[in-house]
Amino acid sequence: MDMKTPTLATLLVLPLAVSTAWAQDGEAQAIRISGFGTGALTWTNTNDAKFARPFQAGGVGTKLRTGVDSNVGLQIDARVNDWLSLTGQGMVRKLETDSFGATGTLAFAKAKVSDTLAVRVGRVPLAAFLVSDYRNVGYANTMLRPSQEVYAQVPNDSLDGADLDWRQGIGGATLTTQVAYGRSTAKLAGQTVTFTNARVVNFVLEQGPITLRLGRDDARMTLTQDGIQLPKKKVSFTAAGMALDWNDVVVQSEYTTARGFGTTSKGWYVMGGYRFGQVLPFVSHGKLTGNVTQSTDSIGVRWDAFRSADIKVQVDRVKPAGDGLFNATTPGFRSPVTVAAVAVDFVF
Amino acid sequence: MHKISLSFVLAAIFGIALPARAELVVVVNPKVPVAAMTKEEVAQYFLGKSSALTPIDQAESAPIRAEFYKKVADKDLPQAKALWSKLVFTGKATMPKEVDGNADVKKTVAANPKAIGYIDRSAVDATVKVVYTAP
Repeated sequence: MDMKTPTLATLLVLPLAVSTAWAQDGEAQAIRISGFGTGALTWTNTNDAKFARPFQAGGVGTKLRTGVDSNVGLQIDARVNDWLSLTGQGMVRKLETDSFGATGTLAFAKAKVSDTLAVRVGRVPLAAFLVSDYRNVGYANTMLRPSQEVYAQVPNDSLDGADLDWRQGIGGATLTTQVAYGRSTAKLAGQTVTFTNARVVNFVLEQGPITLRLGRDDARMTLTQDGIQLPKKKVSFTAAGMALDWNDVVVQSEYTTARGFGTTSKGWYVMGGYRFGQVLPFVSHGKLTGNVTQSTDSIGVRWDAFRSADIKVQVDRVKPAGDGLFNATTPGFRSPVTVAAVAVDFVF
Repeated sequence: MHKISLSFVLAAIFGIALPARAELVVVVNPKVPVAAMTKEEVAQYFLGKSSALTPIDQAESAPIRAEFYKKVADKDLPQAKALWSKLVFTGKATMPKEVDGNADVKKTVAANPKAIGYIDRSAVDATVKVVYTAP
């Protein structure tokens, strides 16, 4: 166990206490406090490289660590009146350094213009891919962590700007159009990535158990590595995704490309599972090609064991070409690597 | 048949069997100019797919809540909660308001012309309007 475990434990318990205090007030209050989190242990079968989430410093070898897959987020929603609300969200996780640090992930004012149109101004999520805007909320996801191969392509989580969400009924289906504009700075392991003039357009079509999604982001990127600012580049992300939850069959898949980071990268994954009551076993295959080449085969299970918490176990067989997405590789590093993780996801 | 028996076994193991209950009805404020809704129309409000009406939930431990989500939204409670988690933590919606028991649902629905809730048929009175009856 690493030194940060007591800190994490405190962080996990504190918001639970706050939440309980609020719950006793009943639900009529204009201010709601909610939160999410994951407590996880991750390990691999090698010490010749460190396995980490994309852009995360440090990582894990054969010694169990909490830092790769654990996080906790706290959110406050304040209802001002019938059409205006304020939302703030902070999250504690390991990202740019190998210790837990807090990030302000959301801070916006939302105007509900009508029952089908909402406009938000401030720090809004950058929804580049299917699960981008909730990929840190373990409880909202089937897999223990989002596909490394796809989600390693977009470094930034949020936009400082505005977005618009417009819902239309089309026959029995719902089409949601999301448009966003803004800028964003992400502090990551060894680098800072800034997007300016970022434009996002997403179309999400939902019909019964099926969700189809098409998305496109364009931005100017400034990369600062070791204090050196590299020339601005035009970057773009294009994504096609689908999700199905039908008669206990769960499928999720995405095909994505990122342009402007040297070679165009292509990432995709297919995840399939079957729900037996509260137990949902799943398998997944993901592949990334471009500047970094890597593929992952995963097998795992989500068990909704508690009212607001699940237990997940996942084993990944990761096959990088060269270093792949691994940190701190040694000359003796050999593919493939087995990664295992056990997690408890909760919401309150 | 195989699926049914497996579900039964798992239900027995995890204790998620739904007890038999009285008829469940979906109610709105009498001012809502709608006489009846389909299952899908009701479900969209309780799965965060439409905000034209405001869903009112019963307590999480109340058996009627599990029955409602199973029969009307085709979801187990954890599935519904996972869906709401996506909406809440991306700032798209807030969790439905939760009240305790049929009487409080009626009171809330009667006081809010945009509210929609579910109660036992036996609790229905003139303060609310039934728009859907679960099979």
